[in-house]
Amino acid sequence: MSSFTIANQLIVQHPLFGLLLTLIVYQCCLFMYEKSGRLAILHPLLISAALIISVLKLSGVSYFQYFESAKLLHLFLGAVTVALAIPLYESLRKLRRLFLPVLISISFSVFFSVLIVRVLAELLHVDEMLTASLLPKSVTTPIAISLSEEIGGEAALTTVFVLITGLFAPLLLSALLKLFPAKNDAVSGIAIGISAHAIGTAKALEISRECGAFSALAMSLMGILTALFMPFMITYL
Amino acid sequence: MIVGLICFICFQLAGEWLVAYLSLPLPGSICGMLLLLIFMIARGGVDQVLLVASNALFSRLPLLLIPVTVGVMPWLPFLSAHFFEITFILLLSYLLTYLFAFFLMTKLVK
Repeated sequence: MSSFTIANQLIVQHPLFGLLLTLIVYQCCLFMYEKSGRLAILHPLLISAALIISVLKLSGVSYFQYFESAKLLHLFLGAVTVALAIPLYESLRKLRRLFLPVLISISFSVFFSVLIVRVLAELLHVDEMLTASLLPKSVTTPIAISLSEEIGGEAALTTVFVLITGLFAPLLLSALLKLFPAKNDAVSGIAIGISAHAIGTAKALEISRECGAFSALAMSLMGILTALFMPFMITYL
Repeated sequence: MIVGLICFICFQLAGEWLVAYLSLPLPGSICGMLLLLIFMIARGGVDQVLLVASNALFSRLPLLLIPVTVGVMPWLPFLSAHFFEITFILLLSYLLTYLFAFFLMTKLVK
């Protein structure tokens, strides 16, 4: 082996390689996303992951090696989950007057969203691991990841499903709202937050601040209630 | 920023501890989130340090999610083999969940 290839190998296997690669790719993707006027299919997570996978394949680095290096970023997801208490607390305070209808809608929707995935998976004879990875897909990603691991799913698959589900909001929402006009921003906000978590909430904020606040509330409660009920629903549904 | 981060991680570990101690069927970080929520309700407000740190984290969430998303790499053949079922389930359940929540809220809000 020439010293050139050896030096290349050394860099690619350096513990900082994955971290640096992630930061660079993310920064570029973010720039592209902003330039494009936040086009849904150019979502920075989607494009970054695709680009990094290509780089890893080309440079012959395994996912395991990459993750060892990029784990530092991943470890912060727990703190993000804890921090979700803050928007929840703020929207709870602001939206107290509609709290009961909101809580009822969300509780039923938690059961409905799990049930519908379960039924569809059953109909299509999808195996258990894939079903478990699909079940938490309406929940915000940091929560969905830990839920997926707990019920025997695959965290990486769940992340992709959550991302795709979220991206349905910017793609389909304007058509849905045209077909079924919302009575007020509370109705659309809750429906958006329940069905499309954080990416939906970003979209709801474009409709109005109030719509965004309801969407954020729905997203947080959806996450908590799904986490609380999932183990029981798995056993009894 | 750092103080807020310390708080979040402390709450997370407190949650992990409680979940292990009481053997709750719940991820530790969710338990930590509930503890922080209770803490803020008891205090009657959100501290500035927590706000700063949470905004810093939320605005970089896609970055933090990249490592786990790249984990789909070994699953790509599996995904393309089940492409039809997965797309069907994701799309249909998205539409039905949205409409379910939409009409339930329409009924409940006067």
